[in-house]
Amino acid sequence: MAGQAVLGDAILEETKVTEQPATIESLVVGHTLLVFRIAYSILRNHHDAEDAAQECFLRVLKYGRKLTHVRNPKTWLARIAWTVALDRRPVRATVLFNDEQSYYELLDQLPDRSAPADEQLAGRQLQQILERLIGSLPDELRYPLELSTVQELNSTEIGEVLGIPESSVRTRLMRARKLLKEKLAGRMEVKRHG
Amino acid sequence: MAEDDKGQHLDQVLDSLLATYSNAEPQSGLETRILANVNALANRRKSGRPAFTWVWAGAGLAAAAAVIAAALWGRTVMLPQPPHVAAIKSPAVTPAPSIDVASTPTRTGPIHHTGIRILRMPAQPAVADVRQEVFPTLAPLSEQEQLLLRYLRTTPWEEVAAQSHSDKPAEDRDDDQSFMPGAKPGTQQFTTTR
Repeated sequence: MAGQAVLGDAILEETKVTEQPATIESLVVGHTLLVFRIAYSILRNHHDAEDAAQECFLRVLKYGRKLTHVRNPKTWLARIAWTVALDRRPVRATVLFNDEQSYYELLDQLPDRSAPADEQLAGRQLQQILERLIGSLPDELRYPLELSTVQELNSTEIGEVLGIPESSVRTRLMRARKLLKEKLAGRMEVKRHG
Repeated sequence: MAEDDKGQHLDQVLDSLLATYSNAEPQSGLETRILANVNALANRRKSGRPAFTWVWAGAGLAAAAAVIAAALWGRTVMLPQPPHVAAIKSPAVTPAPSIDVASTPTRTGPIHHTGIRILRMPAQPAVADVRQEVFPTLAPLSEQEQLLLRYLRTTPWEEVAAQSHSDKPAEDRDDDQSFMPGAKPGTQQFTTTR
């Protein structure tokens, strides 16, 4: 993924914004958490996410002249962060979840549905299972789903980051959730009857 | 009914997992570190910018000079050979300066970097270009002049003076003699027909 080529070109306006342009200091103060969480949703590691956040703002400084043409600094910054995180994502993280044995091993770790939901969500293992399930999704479904987990972004902003309409974002999120539910339900049936 | 419960349960699990999927907090001081790095990079770029600018300005000037030199070099394709002037030794007896004139154009110029082979023009006579010390132009003596010169060198001066003629034109002498054909000079003849 060429990070520089997709450096927010889709969300730049042709006309110059007459308002006071955002400075890089204001961007750091106002959007560091957003940048960090976007990077974390993709990289799944604190240190890698912090490094990606730093690189994101350094890229902003490098292309600081474009700040005067930015219509929405938040989505522009989110797109840069998303691009930086994708560039930093290791190859092993994109390996699909095709190994049937490890798939069932992970699903065996799911607790029984009779247990309270809070207890089910308590363990770290559930998060790992979900990460691997999300990693098994195709890119067109995985990217909107990962960005939707960032609380600071709504579907409109996700569409601007990905360069797709908001309706497409909603459709892809529904398909992603449906796939995740099917995988979970199928294994739970196996576990119940087996 | 059981299917609906199962679906609701899966939705709850997914919602809970996705809600906390990217709900991570960076280590304290991330903003400060990012700002420090950004400011350090900005200062480094500001301090390094003049040298960088001068380097590029120098390179641009060198390139422009090279282009101008190449253009001027290309315009001097047809170069006349500089005139070859023979030295004039003595105005009295030396023959006219001999000039070697090439009959056909010759390729004498070197092959230059531009690939243009300079074709030098044949040498032109330089008589008109040379400022002459004696006017009119010196020419070799004719045969009669050479005989006369040889006669003067070998004959004594008295004999030459005795054989010399008067400077008076021959017409005048003839007119005087025809006025009185039989009369001697210095006497008058009268006729008395009365």
